[in-house]
Amino acid sequence: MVDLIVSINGPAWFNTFDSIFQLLFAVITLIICGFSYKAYRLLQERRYKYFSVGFLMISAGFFVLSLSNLLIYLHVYDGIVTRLGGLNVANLLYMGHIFLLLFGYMLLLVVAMKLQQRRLTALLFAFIILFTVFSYQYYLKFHMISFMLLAFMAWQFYDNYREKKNLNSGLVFSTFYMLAFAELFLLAMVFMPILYVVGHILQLIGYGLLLLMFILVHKATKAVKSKRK
Amino acid sequence: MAERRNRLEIIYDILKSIQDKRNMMIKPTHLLYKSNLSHDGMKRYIDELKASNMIMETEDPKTKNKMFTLTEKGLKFLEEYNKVRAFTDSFGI
Repeated sequence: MVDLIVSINGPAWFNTFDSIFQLLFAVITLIICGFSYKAYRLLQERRYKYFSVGFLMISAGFFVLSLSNLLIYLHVYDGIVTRLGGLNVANLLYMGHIFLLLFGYMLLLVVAMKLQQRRLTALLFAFIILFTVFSYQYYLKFHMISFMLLAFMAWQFYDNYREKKNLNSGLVFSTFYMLAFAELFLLAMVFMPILYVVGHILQLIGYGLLLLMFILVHKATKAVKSKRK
Repeated sequence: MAERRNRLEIIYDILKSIQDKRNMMIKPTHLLYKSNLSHDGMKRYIDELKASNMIMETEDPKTKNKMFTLTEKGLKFLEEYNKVRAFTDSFGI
């Protein structure tokens, strides 16, 4: 089964750049994971722990993808395959990346949509995994499901933005809107490899906006503190 | 009907009431009014906050009245709480 996985990458000139992008996404989501965990420690509410785990999964997923691509680009992977008797390490890593990201997105969606019923959450997870695993088109299915999960999150965060009408909630909504949009380009790159680059740039903008939100949250509190001095 | 505040929100409201006052000092009677708690309820929270070194008792230099003021730890808590709330509000979670 594992041999049938096809990981599709964009134009050759973009090789290694995509790994660097993915490493950046891993770092940004790890920062958000750390802060969500801080929220859990302070407020002692379980949903912030799930939110933190969700971002941790996404971070690990991007780290694994970056590593997998680097193994291919630097030809390290050829040697590993020989040593492991033909076991396709890159495919295993790619599969790991798919599961980590889908699990991460799903956890974020569950928290964002305030889904309380565990059975419903388990059912959602089972459908997603079954749909992805029992398929030969991992790349396409993964990006299709990612698009749907991210689009629903963007919709949810848009409602929050309409209610709060502040810059930070707008940045969060824009992040997920960009990430959902990026999935469409990553899907369409099958027909036009340059769209792989566009997809990554949109992801970079999306995660950049998330980082900006994080910085603004910290700056705003500092401004209040210095005003008192 | 307004939602019931949890323990942490009550602590935040007490600390914020002190922070919002001039010189960050508040009279116990004003704090009772601002925190919207019963006398016994407020006493419990004040004892807890004093024990955890977030607030301390002091004296108004002019009137010599008993006052409460924030400690560095109390200020730090408010700062962290504000950051975390701003973060979670951005996601609406």
